[in-house]
Amino acid sequence: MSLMSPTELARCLRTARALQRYLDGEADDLTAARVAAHLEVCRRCGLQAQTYRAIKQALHGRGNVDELALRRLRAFSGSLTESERNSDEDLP
Amino acid sequence: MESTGARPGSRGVTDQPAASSDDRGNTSSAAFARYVEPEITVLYRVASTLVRQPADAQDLVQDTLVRAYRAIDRFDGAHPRAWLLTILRNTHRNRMRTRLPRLLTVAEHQDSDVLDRGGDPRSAEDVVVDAQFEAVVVDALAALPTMHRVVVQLVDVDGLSYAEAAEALGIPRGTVMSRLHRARARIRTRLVAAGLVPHRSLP
Repeated sequence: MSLMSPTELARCLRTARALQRYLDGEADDLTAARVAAHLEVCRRCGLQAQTYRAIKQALHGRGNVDELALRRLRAFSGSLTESERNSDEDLP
Repeated sequence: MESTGARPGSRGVTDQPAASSDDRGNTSSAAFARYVEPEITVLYRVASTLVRQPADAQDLVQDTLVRAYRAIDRFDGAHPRAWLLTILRNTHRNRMRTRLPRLLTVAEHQDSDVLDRGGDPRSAEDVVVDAQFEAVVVDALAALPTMHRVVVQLVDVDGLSYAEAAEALGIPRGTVMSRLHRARARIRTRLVAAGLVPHRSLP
């Protein structure tokens, strides 16, 4: 294993601290730019970022929701507002 | 869906002066349609993560909708999703008081692990490797401590921001971040152990 300079090590550690926020789109612009620049040149951190992206992608695909349940909930929601309109119409 | 026609003598917007803004002139129904109905999918996703049983998730969202409807007149229109997630969280907590706390139970069922890749243009090898990757990720997720698993599900599966996940769980944003960090690191460790990603370590 090649030795890392203290500066390189510090950059890797700083990237590791911000990586999750960066991948989730929650890092501020300056941090995001700094992380992106480091990932371009550091293979080690780049591989790690690639793995976390793949994990996020694998999980994102599991977000299917039951459309029938959603339709029922929307109908229920509509019934709430419908009941108000009906009560309005009942007023003299 | 929303009736906007003036009905003399009826409650709501009809007696408001024409100069009133839309926000001020809206009825409860209009505000509900504007702020709440677009968030029903998110509410159901989050509810499904919190309670896991589909029927319970629907009940939880229904209760949340009723509470939101009753409170809509007091809602200022800022950050409707955060407002609704707070209602959902409080509703969930109230329901838990009279029921077995499912959030703290061991995962009861992991029966939805179908790797459906119909119509996928990738090569057979890629599909197999990706399926292995996904299977390890899903197993690793299920093996996480509940409080860590729920955060990953809210952010990665349900698509909430850190702030929204914090709102849904009633915990600080920093706690969301630290749980997420630990959870993903554990998932990655499982992938390394399975030989699906390279090991990486700082000297």
